[in-house]
Parts: sequence; structure tokens; C-alpha cells
Amino acid sequence: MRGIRNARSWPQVRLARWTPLLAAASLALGACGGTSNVDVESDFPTPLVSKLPVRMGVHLPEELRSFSHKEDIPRHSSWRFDLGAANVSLFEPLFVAMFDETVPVSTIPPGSAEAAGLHGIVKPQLERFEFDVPRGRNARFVEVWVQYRMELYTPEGGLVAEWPVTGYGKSSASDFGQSNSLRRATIRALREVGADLSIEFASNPDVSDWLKDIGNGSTDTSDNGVAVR
Amino acid sequence: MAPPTLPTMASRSASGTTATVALLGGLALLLTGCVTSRVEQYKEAHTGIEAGERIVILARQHHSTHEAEADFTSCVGNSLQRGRSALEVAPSDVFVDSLYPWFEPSTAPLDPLDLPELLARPGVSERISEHGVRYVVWVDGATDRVDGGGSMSCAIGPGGGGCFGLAWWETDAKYEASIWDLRETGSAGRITTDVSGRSVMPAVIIPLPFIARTQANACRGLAQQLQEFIVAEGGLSQ
Repeated sequence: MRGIRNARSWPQVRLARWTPLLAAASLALGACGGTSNVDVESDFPTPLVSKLPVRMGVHLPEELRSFSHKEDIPRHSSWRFDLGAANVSLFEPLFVAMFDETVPVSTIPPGSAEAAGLHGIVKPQLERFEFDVPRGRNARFVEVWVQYRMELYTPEGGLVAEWPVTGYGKSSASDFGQSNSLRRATIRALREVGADLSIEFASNPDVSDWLKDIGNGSTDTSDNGVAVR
Repeated sequence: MAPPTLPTMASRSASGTTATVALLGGLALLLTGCVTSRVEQYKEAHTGIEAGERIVILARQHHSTHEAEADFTSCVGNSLQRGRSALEVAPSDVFVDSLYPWFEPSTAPLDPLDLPELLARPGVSERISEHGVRYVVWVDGATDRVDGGGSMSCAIGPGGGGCFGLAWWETDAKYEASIWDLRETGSAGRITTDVSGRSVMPAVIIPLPFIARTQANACRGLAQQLQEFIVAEGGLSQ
């Protein structure tokens, strides 16, 4: 050890002495400035639920596919969440598992080719995204809340039902650094959304009535496009 | 704010300091803080495990205030797979993913009475059988710092750095494992472990941590008791 130290030139020794101080200073400065990115990319599991006997159009709007959320926490930190890819990898396999058949739909109402044979069209939108990072000494978790608005349309574009689906996720703040913890908490929140949607979809009263109508073969629409029951 | 400088002491020879650090570091590794632990079990049903049957360790995640740490549940899982009564443990993330959405924090059954309804859902029993899982062990609890005190100040300057003072803190690792028998569709019992300990860190230039490893002790105690609980067929609690 002595040999190694003695072999160093003077500036190297000085640098070694100051390294811990410089590291601490750069950490402190890093915490004060700049935006931390939370890239939420994940594969979500396929839900183990019975498929509904429906040929469903799926419309994932551009704002959902490219959703990002930026927020400054005054005197603390600044964060940017990119959820576009996660939204797609959550909803596409989710709907495939929930319905007998799914068809991507680019607009609502869809063109006649896209609308052919559809029973309905489902459209998720991300309405609210909130998060909290621990600032007190005893706070242990980062937390994320998300709220989507689900919309169900007739093939002609009439609104059948809309309802909120919420998800909450938390993750230990100390395990992997706050950015990684926020990513894990967001994934948990999205998993909850998928769980709620896959379990409760048919329980929504308006959706339940619509499913009965499909079963009865009466999905005619009135002039304003609203389903007649 | 400029850091205060430490006088002369830091200018001792590099070799002497290095040797002291190595000696004290080794000593600190050998010494740990004081720990007291209690493990209790309550057995409601006969257990036992056959070849090919596995258990899965899952953390309860629905509380807003606490959650069993991932490294704790993985420690328990790893410990269960060692020793004379080693058990086969299914990977929890694979199990939960393959049964999505039925074991998420908001959907997981909270009571063994919910088991029949869960197992009756399409595909659930079959998927559990594919994993060979007979017992689900729900781990609830956390390790908390409950008290602390003392003071220590550290300083660094161009000539070196050091600390002086005494700090102490108490941690409490409190966990409960609820064991559900999926074959019998009910609760087999529960094991609680409570390990508390005081860590001390005196410092004269070099801080010497005497760490009470409460979580590691809780993991070891819980895993040993779980092995006995599952492997031993009798021993019902009165």
C-alpha cells in the first residue's frame, strides 16, 4: 500500500485526498439541479381471466402512446415520467386477453373497413398522474397514483359507457435509488389498473347492459349514435 | 460553508493509519450489537410436504405504512432451501405474474376463507398446480428504527478527516408469516418473530460500528421455524 502511494505523483495524491469531498459535492449539486428521467418500460403479464365473447376495437390515442409527465418539487427535485411505451405494453395484451377478438382502430368513429364486424370500441385515456417522493426522515416509500378514463363506444362512435380506473403503487425509497423506486411504483400502479379493468370490466352497469344487448343481438344505434337498450 | 480543518492528528504516517483502519475494520466485523429475539408459532392444522410440492413466499403489500422488504422475503426463501429440512421454494415473481391479476396488492386474498372462491376461478387451480405450490406463506411486517441518540461530528480538511462522538440506535424487526395450505384450502397457522437490537457506533477519528443485525436474525429465526412448521406433521397448538 505504501509503495503504491509513494509511486503517485503529487497531483494524484492531492486528487485522491479530495475525491470524497468532490464526490459529495457533485452528489449534492446533482440533487439540486437537473431533471431525473423515469423511463417506465415493462412487460405486463397476461391476465388469467375468461374472455368476453366480443369482437372489440381498441383505440389507443396518440396522447396515451406518448404520455409524459414532468413535475418540479420545489427545493427538492425535478422528475419526468415517460409512460407511452408502458401504456401500450399494458393495454394491448390486456385487451387481447379480455376479449375474444381485438382489432386496432385508428379513429372513433372508425372507417367502414375497421368497423366491420365490431361490437364496440374501447378507448383508455390517462387523466391523472401523481407521485410523491419521501422528504421526511421517516418516509419510507415513493408512491404513484394513476387514473385512466375508460370509454366504450359503439362501432358508429356513440358513447356507451365511461368510468374511471385508478391504480396505486408504492416502492421502498431506499432499495434502488429514487428513480428506480419511482419506476417500480409506477409499474405497480399500472398493474393495478390492469387488474381492476380485467376483473371489473363486465361489472360496470352500463357495460353489463351493453353485453346483454350484444348477447340478444340488439346493438342498433339511434341517430345520435347512442346505443338503444 | 468551508469545512473545518482538523489539526495535526491527520498528518500521521500513511502506513500507520492504514494498519489501524484495517485492524479496526476487522474488529468491527467481528463485533455486533446486542440482539434479543422471540419466535412464536401457532399451528392450526396438520402439515407435511411431499416430493414435488413447493411453497411460495409472498409479501403483504396492501398496507400504506409498511411492507415486508424484498430482501427480507428473498432471505427467507433462500434460507428455506438450505439445511436438513430444506424446502423447495417457487420464485414469487413468476408465481404472481402467472396468476395475474389475482395476487396483486388490491386483489390478493386477505383471509383463508377467500381461498375457495379464488381457487374456483377459471384456470387458477390449474396454474397453481403447474407451479407445484402447496403452501403460500404471507409475510407481513417490517424492520423499523425505533429509537436513537448520541452525537457524532465528522470533519474533513486538506490534511485528512475524522469523527468524534458516540451514536446509538435501536431497530425492531417484527414479522408475521401466515401459512396457507392450498391443498386443504385453509390456514395452517402462523409464526411471529420479533427481534430487537441496539447498534452502537463510537468514534475516535475512525467510527467503529457495532451493528445489531435484527433483520438477518429475524430472517434466520423465521426460516428455521417455518421449516419445522411445515415438515413436522404433528404439534398442533392447544
